[in-house]
Amino acid sequence: MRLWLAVLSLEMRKLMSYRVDFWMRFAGSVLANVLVAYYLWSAVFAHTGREVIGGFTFPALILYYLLVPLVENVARSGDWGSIAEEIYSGGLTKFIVYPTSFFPFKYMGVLAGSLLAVVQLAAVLGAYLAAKGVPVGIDLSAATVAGGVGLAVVAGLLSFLMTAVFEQVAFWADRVWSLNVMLNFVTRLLGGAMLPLSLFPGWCQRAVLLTPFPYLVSLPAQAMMGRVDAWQAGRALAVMTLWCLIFAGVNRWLWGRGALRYTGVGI
Amino acid sequence: MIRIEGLTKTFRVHQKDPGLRGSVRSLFKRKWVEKHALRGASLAVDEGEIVGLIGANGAGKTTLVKIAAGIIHPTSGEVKVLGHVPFKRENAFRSQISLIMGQKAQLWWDLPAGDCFLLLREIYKVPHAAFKDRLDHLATTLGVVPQLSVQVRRLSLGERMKMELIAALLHEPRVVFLDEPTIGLDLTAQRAIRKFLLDYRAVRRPAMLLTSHYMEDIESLCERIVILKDGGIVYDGALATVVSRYGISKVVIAQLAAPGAAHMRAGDDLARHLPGLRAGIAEVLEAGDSLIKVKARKDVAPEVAAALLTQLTVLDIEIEAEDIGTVIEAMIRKDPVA
Repeated sequence: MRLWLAVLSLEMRKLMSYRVDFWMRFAGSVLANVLVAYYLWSAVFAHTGREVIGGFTFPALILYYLLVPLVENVARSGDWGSIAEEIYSGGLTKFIVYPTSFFPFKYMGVLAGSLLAVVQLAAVLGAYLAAKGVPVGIDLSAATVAGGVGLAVVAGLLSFLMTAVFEQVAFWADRVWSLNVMLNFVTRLLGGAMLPLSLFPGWCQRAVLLTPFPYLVSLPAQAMMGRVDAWQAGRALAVMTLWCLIFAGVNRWLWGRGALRYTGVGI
Repeated sequence: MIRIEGLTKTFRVHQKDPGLRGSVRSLFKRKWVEKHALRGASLAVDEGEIVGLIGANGAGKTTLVKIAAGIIHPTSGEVKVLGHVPFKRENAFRSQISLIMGQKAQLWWDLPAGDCFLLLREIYKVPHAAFKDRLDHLATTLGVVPQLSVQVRRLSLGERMKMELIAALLHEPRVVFLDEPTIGLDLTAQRAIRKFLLDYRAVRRPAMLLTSHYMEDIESLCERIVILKDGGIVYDGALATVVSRYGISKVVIAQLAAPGAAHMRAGDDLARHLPGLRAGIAEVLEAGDSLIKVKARKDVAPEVAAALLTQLTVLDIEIEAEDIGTVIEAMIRKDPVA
C-alpha cells in the first residue's frame, strides 16, 4: 500500500510539474465545451421555440455540458496512449525490471489525474453555482455531487482497463494511435459527451446501456444533477464491475502473449 | 550467479524495400525474415566478476543482456540468474538485479532525481535509514548531491548517468547488467563511473555483465571478456590472454637520430625501403623525420627490428604487443577460434 501511495504521489507531482500545461488543459476543455454547447443549444432552443429538449431545459443543458468535461477529466484523465508508447519505445523495460506490477503502476497515474480533476471539478462547479445557482428542476446537492464523483472515479478504473486492452495491441502492431482516436470518438459519442443520451432513440439508449461507454461520462454527470436514483446507481456499479472484470481478464491474456513478443527496443 | 546454456533467440523482422514503391507495397504485402540474434550462447558469471561482452553491432550482446534480465523471452536454451528463470519475472528475482542502460533513461524525466529515488525506496522496500546512508554515500561519491533536487531532464548527460547509477544501486543488487554505461560521456565522467563501479564491486561483490564499445571500459573493468560474433561466442576467457593467444602482430617503434623514413608512407611494405628485408612481412604504420612505426608478424618482429637498426640511424627501439582493441577487432572480423 505504501508503494502505491508513493506512486500516486509521484504521479500527482508529475502532473503538476508544468503549471501552464496543467491549467490550460483543464481550462481549455471546460471552456471549449461550454462555449460550443452554449451557442449551439441557444440557437436550437430559439429555433424550435421549445423550453425542454430531451428532458433538459436550456440552463440544465448548459450545466450538463459544464459537468461533462469535468467528469471526463475525472474518469478519463490518464495519459492516453502511454501504455502503447511504453511498448513501442521500449519504456516498458524499466517496469519489467522493477519488482512491481505494470498495470497498477499505470493506474496510479490515472488515479492521480482523477484526484486532481476532482479538486478542479469542485472549484468550477462551486463558482458556477455561486454565479448562476442551481437550474430549476435540477436536484443538485452535496450528496449527488459526491455520488457522481464516486461513480466517475470508478469509471476511471473502467476506462483505464478498457483503454489498456486497445493499447496492448501495440505488442503486435507497434503503433496504435488510430485505435485510441477511434476509441475516444466512440466513448465521447456513446458516453453522452457530445449529446445527452436522452436525445438518442429509445432502442439505442437501451443498447448503449449494455456497453461500458455511458458509465464513463453521462452517468456520473447525470448523477451529480440528481437524475440517477440509488437503484440505477447500484445497477450501474454492477455493470461497471462486470466490464472491469472482463477487461481485466482480457488484459491479463494479452499481457501473457504480448510479453513474448516484446523486444525492448531502444537499448 | 548467472548460468546460460545453449541460448538462442530468433527475431522475425519485417523487411521493406527502399523508396515510396516499397512503402506502398508493404501496406499490402510484407516480407518477413528471421534474424538469429543468438545461436547457442553459453556462459557463467560468478559473484564479484565483471564480464565484458564484446562484439560488433548486431552480434547479440544486448539481446543476451535483455534475456538475462528477463526483458525478453529466449527462443530456446536455459538461463538461470540467482537460481531464477528471468522471464518468469518473479519479484524475488527482480529485487536482486539492476539494469543500467546508457542509451535509455529509466528515471522519471519530469521529476528531480531525489523524488525518483524516494519511489525506488518503496519499490525495493529499502529501510529508511539504509536508504539515507546509501543515497548519501552514492551521491557524495559521484559528486551529484546538489543535483538531487534538479529535474532529471535538466541534468547534463554525465549527471543523468550518475543518477541512473545511483538508482540502479540503491537496493544493492547482487547482479548488475550494464549496457553501454559510459556512452556519450566525456573522459572525466567516464573515468569517474569506471572508478565508482570498481569500488562498488570491491565492497558489494555483485556479478556484473557489461556491454561496451569503449575498450577503455573493458580494459579498466573486466578481467574476463566474452566475444560474440553473429550470435555465437567466439572467445570466453581472461582479457590478459587475448593478446598473447590471439595477437598475431607486434608493433616495432624506432626513434630516429637522422631523417631516414620521411619518404615512407603509411601502408607501404617496409621491404620496398629496406633492401634485404623479405617482402610482405612488415607494413609501415607511421613514418616521419624522427620516428617510424611498423607492424610486423610476431615471429618476424626481431628480424624487422634488426633491419631497422642496421639500415637507419636509430636512437631507441621498442617492440610492443599489439593494441588489445586491434586484436579483438580482428577476432570479431575473422573468428580465429572457430
